Amino acid sequence: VTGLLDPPPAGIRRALRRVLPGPRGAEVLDDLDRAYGALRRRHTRRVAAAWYLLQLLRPATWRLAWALRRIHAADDRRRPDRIRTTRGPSGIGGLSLDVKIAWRMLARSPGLSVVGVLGLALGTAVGIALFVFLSGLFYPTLPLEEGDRIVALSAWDSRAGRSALPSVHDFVTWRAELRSVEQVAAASMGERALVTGDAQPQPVRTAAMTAAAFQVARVPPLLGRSLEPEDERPDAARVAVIGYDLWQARFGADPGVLGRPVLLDGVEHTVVGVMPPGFRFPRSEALWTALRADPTRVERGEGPQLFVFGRLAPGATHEEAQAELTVIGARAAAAFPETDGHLRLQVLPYTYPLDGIQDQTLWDVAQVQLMVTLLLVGIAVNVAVLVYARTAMRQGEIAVRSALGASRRRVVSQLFVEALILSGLGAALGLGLAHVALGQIQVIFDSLEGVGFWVDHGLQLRSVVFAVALAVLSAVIVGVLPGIQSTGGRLSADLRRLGGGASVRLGRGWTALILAQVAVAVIVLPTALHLGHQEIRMGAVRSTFPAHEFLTARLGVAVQVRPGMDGEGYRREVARRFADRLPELERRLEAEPQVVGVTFEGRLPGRGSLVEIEGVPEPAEGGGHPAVSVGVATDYFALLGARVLTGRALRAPDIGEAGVGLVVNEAFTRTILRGEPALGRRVRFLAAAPTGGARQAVPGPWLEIVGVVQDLQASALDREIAPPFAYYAVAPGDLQAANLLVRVRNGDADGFGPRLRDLIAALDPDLRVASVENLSSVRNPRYLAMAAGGLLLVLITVLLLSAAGIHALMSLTVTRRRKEIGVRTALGARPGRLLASLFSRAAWQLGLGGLLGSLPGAALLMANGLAGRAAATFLCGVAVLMLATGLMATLGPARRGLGIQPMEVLREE
Amino acid sequence: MLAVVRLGDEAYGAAIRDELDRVAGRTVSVQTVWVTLVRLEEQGLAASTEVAAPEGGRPRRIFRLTPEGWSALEASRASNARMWEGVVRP
Repeated sequence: VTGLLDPPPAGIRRALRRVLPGPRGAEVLDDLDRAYGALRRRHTRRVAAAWYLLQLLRPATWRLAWALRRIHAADDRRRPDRIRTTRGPSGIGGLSLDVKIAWRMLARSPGLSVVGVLGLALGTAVGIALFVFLSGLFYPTLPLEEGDRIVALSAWDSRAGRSALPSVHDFVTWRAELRSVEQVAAASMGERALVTGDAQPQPVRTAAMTAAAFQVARVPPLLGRSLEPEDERPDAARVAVIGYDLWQARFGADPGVLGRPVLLDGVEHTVVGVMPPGFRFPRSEALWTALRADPTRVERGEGPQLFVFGRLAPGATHEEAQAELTVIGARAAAAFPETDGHLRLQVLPYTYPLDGIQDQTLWDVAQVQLMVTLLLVGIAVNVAVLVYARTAMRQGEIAVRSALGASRRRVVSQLFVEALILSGLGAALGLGLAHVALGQIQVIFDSLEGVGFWVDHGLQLRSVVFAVALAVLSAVIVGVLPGIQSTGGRLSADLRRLGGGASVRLGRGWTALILAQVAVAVIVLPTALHLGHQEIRMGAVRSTFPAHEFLTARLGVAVQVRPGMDGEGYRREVARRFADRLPELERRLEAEPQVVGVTFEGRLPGRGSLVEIEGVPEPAEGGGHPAVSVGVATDYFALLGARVLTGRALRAPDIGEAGVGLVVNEAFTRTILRGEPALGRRVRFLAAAPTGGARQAVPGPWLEIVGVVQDLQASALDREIAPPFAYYAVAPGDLQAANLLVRVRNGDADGFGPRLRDLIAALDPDLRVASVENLSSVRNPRYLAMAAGGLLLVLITVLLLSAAGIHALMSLTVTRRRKEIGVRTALGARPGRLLASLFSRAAWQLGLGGLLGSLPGAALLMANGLAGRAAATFLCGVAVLMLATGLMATLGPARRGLGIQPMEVLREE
Repeated sequence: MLAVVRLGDEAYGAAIRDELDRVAGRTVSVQTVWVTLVRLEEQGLAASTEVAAPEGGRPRRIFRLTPEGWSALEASRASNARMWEGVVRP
């Protein structure tokens, strides 16, 4: 622009140019520049610039912008030969144009885009969730200083084919000899009963550790001290270090806690330190005592099993440590061939022995990861089919672009950007889905006890990187492969097709893909549905008695610990108080007008959840049959309204350790006894060994089944599915804690809660009551909803993808055979015949795919424990569903096919 | 429209604006002039062609009236004249 003192502000000018398009717009801008120049000659630059900016805001400018757009559109209509350029001479090319075009293409076929994004999102979500889960398990990050240098030392028992945790002798040897691992420490974990002050005993996860364990963790205590080597001496005073949560809950965060006594399984310990919040070493413990590792007191290979760990010495590698340990192992094997000859010593990641992982299982990880990748590749291929079908329809456009000088790379990169946007959206949505799902899983994990302190199912950077990698992989499959294929053909042939409608075809490969997809759906879906259905049926446990009429409360007794009282004395005192107070409480409650009746349940020590049954072989994995065992009052079944089906209910002589009568539920006879008569059969409970390390179990005395009651809990969907129960009789004097069950008239159980608390408090201030709840609200439906939602999502995605694939195929068929349809309609073909000829291919593909899939599908179902009529139902159901979905997907193209006007087609010739 | 006619081969945007300012004494904005011109084009009353600028700058769009434009202009003048008939200042 000549004759100006200075040019107008460039940014405003660019904005104006964008608002005012076309050659006329450029001229308007020239005029405005000239006016700006005239103004500038008379005023300051600031005034002129302000005026220039004002032009952008004036309504007249926007009226003109509208007018210019209208007239340019009219110009373009008048000159169809004119090749449109998007914007100015510099706007063509580059990534931004690719992205813009890609958005436009995706918006033009919203259905396809939504299906593609949803499919990829689901695949990514499943992939990420599994990735987070597996990488947390196999490549854990310890939230400790230099956590990656902490290793575990373990042994593999080649004779037994399983890992063998080291014993005291191993630990002492390793601690003395290993140079590449420092601060070799040992721990023995287990649950112990903690009594503080006058509170009732509470089970606490504890670890007996050597003092070096605290050095390995490198976490200083919050108060007092941690353990020291002197504490390990056999004659040292017994001391305990407590965790932050315990300090808060049991000592009210009292800073004077140091020096206070606590009872651990009846043995007095002195508190010497408090650890900071979050410290749950070595796994999820809340209290630590000193481990007295004295090899002179046990035989080699005997004694408690230990978890041994340490830090790699500065500069030492994992391999060096392994080499050194192997040498030590070989020496021990030579010296003690009987006990150590079959042991192979291992340096493992810290968490492996705690999670029960061996190196051997790493192969399984690889397999699972392969499956995850395959799943995503499968979904991506599905989406690729869809995108290819559309790309194929754009063959003409691609040909024109090539003819105008676009390189093959340029065209493919355009398609890649489109696919990348699709998969990027999918990955973002997938990350969100995975985040929500993992959050739910974390909530479930947090509610479980004994989960390792390192377990964190949050999305970390590596998960996001993984998602990005998945997105790029998907984009390559979805965009580049179809792109290369569709740009590979001969240009002239493609150009010739431009006029007479697209004569594109889906190659044999794509037909096979759709076939394979239907087949895979028929193979996998029935089993997935069956397993999911079963999971939900198992989860949807409902009470068969009127649970809403019951109020339940957990009762305990607080007994003052007297000097010199040991664990046994304490337990006796608690039982005495229960024997005294519980019957009185029952009497008082039954005197209340709202109360129908009162009963209680509780457990006897040593009666765990595994049973051994005479004449019934142990399950293959060993360790007895799992059954829920509960001690109940003799009036329990009567109050709950449970029918005794055979035999009798529990009676007074059955009570306690001396009683031999046992009542089981229907599910017990159905699942464990497999329908064989239950009465008279002898059963005993297996209690886990006190060390907790090995899966050894100590059997209790034999009991005899005297009756079978109806299932009190069963699946809401299938009464056949219920957990097996074994009930024994207890009296208040046997118990350390009890669940009180109060049946309330008119079902207003919740309303009775405050009165119940009052009555208990009035009876004995030492009675502690916790979690007063309506019995029907005890169950958590979260897991169930998740399982059902996940199943539904998978089903919908598979169906949607199949439908979309078939839809794309049929649309192509109709487009390709447009001319033929027109001619046949002109010659008087009936619509029925036309449809049949058009869709025979779809039907053929659906049918063949279903047929191919049904045999392996049936085999898979049978392998997962479903056979006969139920299997056939599932298989047929899925086949019909697929067929219906496929036919629905052909409806649109079919209507389009029948709507083809013969005259139009002939005119196009 | 009259300005377009008066300017003849020189009837481009800025010149039309100057002509209105000089002859009619009315200052209008660049945009207003252009909105009017574009609408005249849309209604088929005016047409435009691009010609190279004499000093070799950006090509200019020269406007001229179409026959329909001439008719409209004449109709406007006639109706104006009819409205003036018999009008006398009291």
